Amino acid sequence: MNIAVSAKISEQDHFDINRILMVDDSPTERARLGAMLKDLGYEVVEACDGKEALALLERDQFQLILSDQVMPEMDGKTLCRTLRSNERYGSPYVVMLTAENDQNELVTCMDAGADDFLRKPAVKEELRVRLAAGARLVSMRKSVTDQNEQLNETVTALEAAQKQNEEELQFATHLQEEYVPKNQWLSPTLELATHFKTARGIGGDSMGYVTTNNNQVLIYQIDVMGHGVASAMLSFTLQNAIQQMLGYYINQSVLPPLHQIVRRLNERFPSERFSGLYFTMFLGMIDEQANTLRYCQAGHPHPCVLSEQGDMMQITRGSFPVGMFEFADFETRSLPFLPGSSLLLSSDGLFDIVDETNSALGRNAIENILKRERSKDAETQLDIIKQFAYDWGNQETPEDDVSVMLIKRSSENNQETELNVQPFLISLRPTESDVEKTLDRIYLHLKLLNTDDLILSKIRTALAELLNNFVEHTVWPEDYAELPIEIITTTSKSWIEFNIQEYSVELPHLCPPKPYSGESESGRGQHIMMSWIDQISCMRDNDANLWRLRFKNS
Amino acid sequence: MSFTVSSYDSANVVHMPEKLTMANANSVKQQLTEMIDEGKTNLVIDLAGMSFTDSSGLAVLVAVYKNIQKLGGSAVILSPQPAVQSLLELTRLQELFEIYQDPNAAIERVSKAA
Repeated sequence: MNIAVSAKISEQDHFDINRILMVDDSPTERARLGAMLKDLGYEVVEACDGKEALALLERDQFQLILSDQVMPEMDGKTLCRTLRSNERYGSPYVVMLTAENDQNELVTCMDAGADDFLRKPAVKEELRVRLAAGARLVSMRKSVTDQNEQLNETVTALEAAQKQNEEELQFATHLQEEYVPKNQWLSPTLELATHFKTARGIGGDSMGYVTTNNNQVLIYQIDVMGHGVASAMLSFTLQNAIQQMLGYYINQSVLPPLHQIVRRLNERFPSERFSGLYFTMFLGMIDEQANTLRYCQAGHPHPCVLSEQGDMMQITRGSFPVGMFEFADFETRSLPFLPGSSLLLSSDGLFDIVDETNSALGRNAIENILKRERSKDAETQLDIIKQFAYDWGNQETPEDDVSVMLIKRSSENNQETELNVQPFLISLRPTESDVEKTLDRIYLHLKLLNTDDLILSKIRTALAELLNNFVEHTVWPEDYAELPIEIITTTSKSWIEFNIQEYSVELPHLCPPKPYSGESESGRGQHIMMSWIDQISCMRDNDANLWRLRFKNS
Repeated sequence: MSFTVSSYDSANVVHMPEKLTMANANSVKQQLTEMIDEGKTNLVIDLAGMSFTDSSGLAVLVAVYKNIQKLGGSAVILSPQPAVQSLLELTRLQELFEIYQDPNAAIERVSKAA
């Protein structure tokens, strides 16, 4: 047997409908058929039986196969079955040559996987139309496969893009959560608890607080309409703008009435400039000295303000959202905010959580919890509210962004004794007796505040160790102004803090105590300091060393 | 502010000042060293009146201990107040000195050693 054309495989060979594999054991028949096929314009590759055909197909792909049925080594039907049983042969179009008038043979050939048949001896015209039909089918199948492949590629690309989008959104959500103030004490008597959950990964809610120099606390909450990236970006921008504005006013000590700040935002952020996005906001200021909550509310849900006795303040008037109308005006109002009062601030997402019957949670439910649980701390109260709200909604993700701030002012009898702040000064380059005198004064001061004797002596010794360093080991700048060492003593019910500012050249060396033996000459002072000071830190700022020492006051 | 001494036969009781800090520690240390050098090596260090000390005060006690070790003799501590007691414990000086609450027992202890 001869292989007429030794085909070299290339990409386009994989799909060439003008190439045909002809399989026949009879050399005469191969010559006859081969001539006919060449006349019809085909490039012909020959094999003498099924086995040789398979060997060729291992290396090369053919779209068209013309095969005899009866052959010695492997017949046409076996060749067909083998081809169809393995995908690596592709799916060539197989025309089987069968003996004349054998109906049964024809059926078994088709069953074996042949696509068409030709009765022997094949006639050129019939051969032409049968092969042309095969070529049409193969081309059609090829184009469908190609389209499918393209579709798959597009789907894969889309999936990758979506995955990236989701990752980016997740990151943005994380950033947004980072911006949410943590549960904390805003002053010794104001406890803040927060909750933040977005509807669709990233949302338009923001909140924050700023403390003024007079210990007033400014709080705000924003809800930009819609959710998603645009709302979130505007919300970020607004939060920055508000923090900056408030920071500026506080630095200049010229805090304007709250409604003027909101008015300014209304001018700066008209919705026409921001794809029609407007926002609701609440800006409030808690003044513990004046016992008031002043606030400006712009389209935002009314705050829930509860007195220690459990009376809910009724707030009914609202005003336009910010950015919606140029002419909108806003006003600052004031409510009593006495010790024991609570303030709950929420975007509408919380009240709008619905149950299976589509009935909204509403304000009353939240107000009732606040009333019932008002003796608890803010964090616990908010946990109870969260639990209740998500049980009501019976789902993890709310339909709208939910952001909540709960601020609780400690009731009078609960309050820590007023912070007592007392400065003490020692000269730069102190002597032993300067230290001694200062320690005496600090001792007397703390004694008058009824500090426990043992704590007092620990404080005295530990402070002495630090201050003695200034006398003994510290290098003082030669040409420095004679700035005194300043010790500010802050005493509350639970701790006593010393903030010490001094101008020595370098930070006095402070490291964890070494293993210490009673007889050793040095290291004792440091050992005492490290053992008896509950918290110690030191930082360099503006040519000064700032020490902060804290002792537990109980 | 310095210390006073009461003598009982071979024992000397050193009544430490109310405060022993960096401001007076050096002079106290010097005087005590001189005393020990003069042969008064059986000491009861009475801390009953001492309300404060710091690491420089502890350094005085360590110096006393070392000098007495060198010359042969003994020193004990009498009646430290709670704050000073906890400082002695913190810095493990109670391992160097026996601590007594009863003056007579303390005097007897250092007299015996003589």
